[in-house]
Amino acid sequence: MNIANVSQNTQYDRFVSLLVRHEQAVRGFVRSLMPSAHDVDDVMQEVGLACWRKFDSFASTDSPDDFVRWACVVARFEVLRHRRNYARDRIVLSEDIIELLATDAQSRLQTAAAERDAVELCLARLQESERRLLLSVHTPGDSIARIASELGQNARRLYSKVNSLRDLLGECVRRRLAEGEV
Amino acid sequence: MDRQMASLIRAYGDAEISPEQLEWLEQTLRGDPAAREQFLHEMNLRAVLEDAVLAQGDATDSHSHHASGVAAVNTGRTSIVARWSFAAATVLVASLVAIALWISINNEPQIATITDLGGSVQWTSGGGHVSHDLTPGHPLHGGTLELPSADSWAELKFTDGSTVSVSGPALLSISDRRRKELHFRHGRMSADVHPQPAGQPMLIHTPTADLEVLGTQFNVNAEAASTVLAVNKGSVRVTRLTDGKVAVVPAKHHVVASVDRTKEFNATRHRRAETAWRSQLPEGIVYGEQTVNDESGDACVRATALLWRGCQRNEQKPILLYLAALSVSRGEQSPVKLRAGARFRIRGHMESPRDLLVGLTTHHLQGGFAGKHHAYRKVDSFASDSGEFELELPVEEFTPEAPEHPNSAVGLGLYDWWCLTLNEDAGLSVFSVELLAPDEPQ
Repeated sequence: MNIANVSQNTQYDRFVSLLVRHEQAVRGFVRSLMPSAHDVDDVMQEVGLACWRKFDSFASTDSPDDFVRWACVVARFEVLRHRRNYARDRIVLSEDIIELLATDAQSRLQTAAAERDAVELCLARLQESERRLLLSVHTPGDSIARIASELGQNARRLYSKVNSLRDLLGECVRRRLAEGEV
Repeated sequence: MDRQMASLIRAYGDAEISPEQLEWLEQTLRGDPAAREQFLHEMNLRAVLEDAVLAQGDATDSHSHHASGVAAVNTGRTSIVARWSFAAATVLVASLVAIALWISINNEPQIATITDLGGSVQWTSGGGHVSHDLTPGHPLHGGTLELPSADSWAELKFTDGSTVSVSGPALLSISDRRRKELHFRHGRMSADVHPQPAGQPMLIHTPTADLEVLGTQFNVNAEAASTVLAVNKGSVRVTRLTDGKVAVVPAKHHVVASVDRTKEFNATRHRRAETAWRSQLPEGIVYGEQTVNDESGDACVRATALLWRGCQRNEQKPILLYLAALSVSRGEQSPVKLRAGARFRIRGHMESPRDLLVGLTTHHLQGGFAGKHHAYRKVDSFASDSGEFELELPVEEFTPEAPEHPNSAVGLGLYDWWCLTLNEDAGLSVFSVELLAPDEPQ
């Protein structure tokens, strides 16, 4: 062990600790700018690497949000870079819209964190069958059409049921945020 | 909530949006901040649901999913290191070519070679060329070796096989004259000198003494006001510069050559090694600022900044250290032996607590420089709310800085003690340092 190793390891430990602690927030930010969950892992990998490469430029004060804000700036560029790769063959929002959304998202990081806490509470209040249906459409590789076919139900009707549950959940989240319960 | 907007956002998130719907969605998002807020709200809820699905599933998969960024960094770190290594190798090749060219132009006789080094080490050649990228095997002609940090050390081998180890902070100039002639401005040196040709002793000049060496093993501690020479084998002839007095120091004896001519200048037999030690601040400060503990009024040492430049094999950019270093045994005092079961007790204060790196410079009790050893302590293991701390570190916890150094500090003599914080000024002040013998109570 020497000072170079210790310095590198200390820096690395600090970085990993911050990334692990705030990955959900950064991931939420990335997801809100991506058209599907499938690409989020790829982008998060690039974000992790880019953040580590640039970690020397991260100047932390005592605010716990500093890392999230900084990582979101890095993530924003990674999302845009990734978008350029998939925009040719998919229906995606244009670059200027993603820029607008990223700017707005960076100013609502605390709200987003409160929303995430509220969703978890609201999800727990749904009936088991409702929760299962709502989550099933978000299972990687699944789609409402496939689930409908498996259940022998009309896809449009199922989609409408899922959307009703999403409304219910959204309402619950809004109510909790308004009441300051999270 | 705008239902039509919600429906479009969900269609987008479900990848079921048509091009026409997307165009309408974009137009709305572009001009309506409330629509963007609704979009981000919906997508955030979706992100939590997707996370919940993963958390519900296979725990291992979920873990690896969440750790994707971290895992990528681990993998990426290798590639980053590989790229750095490549860059370092390129720089090394360029440096070697430059050195070869420089040597061919100057055609100076080689006096010594660096056989090993660690920490921050800088070489300035007689022509003023400065090298930070020293590696073992680096040839030395006339020039100055600078070791600014407490963890710096270098071993030199002369063409006749004599070796010199220098421990930082230190400054050593090598004369380019044919016989071995060193100007040791300050620091600690340990030398093992092979028998020299008759009439051509090795010469070492310090600020207060001239040493003539015919063949011996000895340690030198040089400061502006005094030089301590401890001879382990053979003998060394010393001239005190203030009055020209001469002393011949035989094996197992030491002498102090001070600028104060009223002080004794006689060879004295080495004392028995002690197994306990306590700092006597402000005496012995090697690096750091002497200050006063506000509460007790006692002297203490405050860590001060030092830019650590590393050396070639560390392949990294400079690191800012905040360092406090104390001299433990300079040769005229009893040597301090590190015994198994002994421990250091460090009392101090940090304005903004940080992890601490504590280090030792050690020497062989009957010989020269042994090595540098470190112990690293996370801040949460010892810091208190007030910033004051009392930390105990067993000697066994110290590990060698380099593979060439002894695996354990146990059994070695303690030369220097030091501690530092990395990159940030924690406002570190050290009130006292003690080496507690194995049988001393907690």
